Amino acid sequence: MAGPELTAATAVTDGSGPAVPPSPAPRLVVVFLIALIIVLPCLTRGGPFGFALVPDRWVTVGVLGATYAIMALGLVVVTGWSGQFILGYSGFFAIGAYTYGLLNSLVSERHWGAPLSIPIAIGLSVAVALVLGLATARVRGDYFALITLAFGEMVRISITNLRDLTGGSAGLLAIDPLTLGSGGAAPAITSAVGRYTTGWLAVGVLAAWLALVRRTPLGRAWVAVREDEEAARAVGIDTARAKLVALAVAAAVAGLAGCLFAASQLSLVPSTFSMLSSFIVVTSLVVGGMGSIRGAVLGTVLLLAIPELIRDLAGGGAGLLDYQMLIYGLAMLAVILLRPGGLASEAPQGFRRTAEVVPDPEPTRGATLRLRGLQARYGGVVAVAGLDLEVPAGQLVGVIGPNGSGKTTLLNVVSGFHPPAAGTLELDGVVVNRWPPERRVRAGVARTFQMNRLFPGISNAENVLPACDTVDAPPGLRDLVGAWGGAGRRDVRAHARAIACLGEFPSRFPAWRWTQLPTSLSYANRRRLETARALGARPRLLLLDEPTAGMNPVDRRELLRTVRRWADGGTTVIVVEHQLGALAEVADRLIALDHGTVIADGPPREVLASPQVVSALMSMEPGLERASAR
Amino acid sequence: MSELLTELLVNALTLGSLYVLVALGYVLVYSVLRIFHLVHGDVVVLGGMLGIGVLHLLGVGGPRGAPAWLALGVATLVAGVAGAVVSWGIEVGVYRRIRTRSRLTPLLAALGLSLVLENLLLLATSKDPIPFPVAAIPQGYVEIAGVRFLHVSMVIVGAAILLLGGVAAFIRGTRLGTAMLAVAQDAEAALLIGVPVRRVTAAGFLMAGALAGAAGVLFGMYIGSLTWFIGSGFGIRGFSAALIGGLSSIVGAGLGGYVLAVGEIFGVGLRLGPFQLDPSWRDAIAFLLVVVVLIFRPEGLLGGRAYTWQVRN
Repeated sequence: MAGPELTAATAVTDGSGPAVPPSPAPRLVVVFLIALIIVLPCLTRGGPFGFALVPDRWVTVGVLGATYAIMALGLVVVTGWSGQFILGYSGFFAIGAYTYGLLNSLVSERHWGAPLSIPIAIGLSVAVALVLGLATARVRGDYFALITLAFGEMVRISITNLRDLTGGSAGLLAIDPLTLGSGGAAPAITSAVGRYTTGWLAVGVLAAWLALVRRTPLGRAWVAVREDEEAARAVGIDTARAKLVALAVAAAVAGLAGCLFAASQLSLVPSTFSMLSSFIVVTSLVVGGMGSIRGAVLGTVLLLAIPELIRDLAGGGAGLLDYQMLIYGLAMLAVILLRPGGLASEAPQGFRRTAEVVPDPEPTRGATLRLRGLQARYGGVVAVAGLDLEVPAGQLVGVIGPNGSGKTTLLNVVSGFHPPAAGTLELDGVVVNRWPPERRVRAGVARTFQMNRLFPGISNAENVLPACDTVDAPPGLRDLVGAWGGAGRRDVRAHARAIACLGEFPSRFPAWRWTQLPTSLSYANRRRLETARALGARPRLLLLDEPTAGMNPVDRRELLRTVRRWADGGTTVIVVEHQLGALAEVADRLIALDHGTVIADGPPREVLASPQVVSALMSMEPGLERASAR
Repeated sequence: MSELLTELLVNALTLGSLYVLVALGYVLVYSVLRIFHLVHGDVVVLGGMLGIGVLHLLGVGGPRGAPAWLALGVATLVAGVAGAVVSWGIEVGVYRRIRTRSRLTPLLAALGLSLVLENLLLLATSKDPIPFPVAAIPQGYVEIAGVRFLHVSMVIVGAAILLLGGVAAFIRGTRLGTAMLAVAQDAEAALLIGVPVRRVTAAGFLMAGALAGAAGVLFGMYIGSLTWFIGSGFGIRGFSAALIGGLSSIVGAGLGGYVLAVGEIFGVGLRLGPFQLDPSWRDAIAFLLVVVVLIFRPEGLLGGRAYTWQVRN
C-alpha cells in the first residue's frame, strides 16, 4: 500500500533561513519617546530653565497628545491584539468625557470630583461596551467594524440632540479641571504643565500595565483570537469572552481618556467626537504598528507633532490646518503601502523562561469515548450515519476510509465543531453533545485540522503557548492584574510544557525557531507545529486529522511512532490517516468508514484484510490517495 | 394624512434611488474584491462637483448656454467617466498592492484614501457648499390624484432605474458579467477555470465608479449643493443600504436603499399621536436600522451565504 520506500538519505527540507530581525532599534524608540516627553515641558517658558525654546502651545498640544495616546493604547488591545476593528471608538471617549463633564461642571451644578467621577465614567463606558459586545456577538470582522462606526455616530448624534442634558451643539461649558476631591473647593490640577504631567504619567502607567497583560494567558488568547478564531477555540479559548473582555478594556481606557480630555479642555462640544477623531486614533495605530504599545504612542506623537511642526516652520497661519487631515491620509497610505507593519511593530515573542523544565504533575489518564447512534449532516447530506463506537482509554485508533466517508466529520463532531444531528456523545461517561469546543478542550479533547490552522502572524512559540495556558491557567479576568494574579508561577509551567511539546519533535524546533513565524516553516513542520499545539493542551483524547500529510515515508513513520509513544503514555488517540501501511504498524485498532458507517472495526491486520474494506478503498483511483493527502 | 403619507413616500422613493446607486457600488466592489470600499462616497462627491463644473462650462441658464437636458446629460457622462477612472485608479494603485494582507488593511487604506480625497476636494474647491446651477434643476411638478410629483424627483428616479437596469442587463447578458458572477462566488476558482480575474475586478470598479459619478450629479440636483466633506455621509448611507439589503445581492442593494430611505424619512416625518422626532435624529435612525438588521440578520435582508444575484422566484 505504501509508496516506494525512500531511504534515510531523503533530505529534511525546512524552507527557512535565519530568524527574522526585529524592527529596528525598538529600545531606541522607547528611550527617544520618553526623553522627548520629559524634556518638552522643561524647554518652555514655565520650565526649570526659564527660557522659551519651545512655544507654550506645545505643552497644550502635549496634553491633547496624552489623551490621544491613551485612546491609542486602548485600541491596541481591542484592534491590535484581539483583532476587533472598531471604527467608532470615539463613542466611548465621548461617554467618558460627557460623564465627567456632567458630574463636574458649574452648569450642571455638580462637583463630584475626579476620584469619584472617573470610576463612574469608566464604569459607564464599560457597561455600554458590554451591551454592544453582547448584542453584536454574532457579527464578525468588518461588519462589526461598521456596526461600531454606527455606534460611535449614534452616541455623537444623541449627545447633540439631548440638548437639555448636554447643552447640545452649543457645548457643555465650565467643566472643573482635574479635582483631587469632591466639592467645589477641592484642590485641582490647573496648570498646563500639571495636566501634561498627569496625562503622560497615565500613558506611562497604562502602557506598562498593558505590556504586562499582553504577556499573560489573556494577552496570548487575544492574539490567538485575532489570528484564527476557530483555531483559538480548538486550543480551548472561550473566544466570545476573550473578545468581550478586550472590548471592555478598550472602553475603560477610552472612558479614562475622555475624563482627562474633559478635565483639560474644560468644555465639550459634540463635534469633537466625530468619526474623524476615531480615524485619527486608528491612523496613529497604523503608522506606529497595529499591535504595538510603543508604536501606538509613537504614532500619536508623530501625527500630532508633524502638523504643528509644519505650522511652526511655515510661520503660523490657520490655513495650514487644512492640510492636517490630508497629511494624515497620505501618511496612512504611505505606511500601509510601504511599511506594512508600521514604524515600530513588535517583534514576534519567544519563550521567556527556558531554564526550568517542570514535569507534568501526574501521568495522563486517557479519556474514554462512547458514541451512540451518532449522526451528522451538512444540509441534506448525511456525513455520519448512526455511528456506535466505544474507544477505551489509552487506545490508539486509526480511522480509514475513502474520501467523503465521514472521517473528518467524525473528528469535527467529537471535538465540538459540528453539531450532531442525532445520537449521544459521551466522554468518560458524561454526555457532552452540547459542550462548545473550548469546553471539550478543557475536558481533555484536543485536535488538529485537516487543513493547517495555525496562528500565522505570531511566533511558533506563541502558537503553542495558548494551548498550554488552557490546562492550568485558562485566560481570565485575573490576568488583568498581571503577575499579581499568580500568573508568574502558572506561566513558568505553561512555558515549560510548550518547550517540552516542541521537544517531542527533536531537532525540528530549535530555540532559534521559537521567535519565527509559522509561515517560514516547511509544510511538514507546520503539521508538526499544529500537532505540538494540540499536545500542549495536555489532551486525554487526541484527535489527529491526517497529521502526516506532506511528509515523506521516513518522516511519516517517525511521526506515527511518536504518536504511538503518546498513546503508550496513556493518551487516547484517534488518527485519520491515508497511508494504511504506516498506520497499521502503530495502531491498536482500525476503524474503516464508508458513507458514514463503520464497515470494519478491529485489529489492523483483520480490518485491512476485510473484503468490504478492500473494495471500498479500491474504488478509489490509484494516486488519488496521495493527492488527498495534500 | 394620506396626502402627507404619499408625499413622504415619493420623497423616500427619490432619496432611496440615490442610495441604491451608491449601495450598488459597494456591492459590485465587495463582490470582486471582498472589501468595504469606504472612499466610495467621496467619489460620488467628486463626480458631482465635476458635473457642476461641466454645467457651468456649458453655460446652463445663460443667454447662449446649452439646453438644460443636454447639459445634464453631458455632465452626468463626464462625472460617470471621471468616477470610473478614479475608482479604477484606486483599485490598481492601492487595493491591488495590498490584496494578500489581512482583512483590516483594505479598510484602513480606504480610510486613508477617504481623508486624502476629501481634503483634495477641499483644496480644489472651497470650504463652502458648491451650489448646483438652479437652471439645470428641473422645475415644476405633475399632480396626480392630489399628489405632487416633482419633476426633479422623476428625473432622479428615472435615471436610477435606467442605470440599475443597465447594470443588471450587463451582468446577466454579457460574458464579462457572467465572469463577475463567477468571481463573486469564488475568485480563486474563477481564476483556475480561466476567468480573467484582474479584468473582471477592474470592470467591477469601473462600473461602481461610473454609478458613483452619475449619482453625484443626481445628489447635487436633489440637495441643491455639494460640500467637500459630505462624501463620507453619502458613503455611509450607501454601505448602510448595502448592509441592510445584503452585500451579496444586487436586488438586496436596491431593497436596502429604499428601506433606509423610508426608515429615515418616515422616522422623522410621521407624527405618532403627540410624539414626533426632531429631524436631527434622522442620521441616528439610519444607523439604528443598520445595527438592528445586522444584529438579527448579519448577512443582510437578502444576503445568503452564496451570491444570489438573480431574483429568486
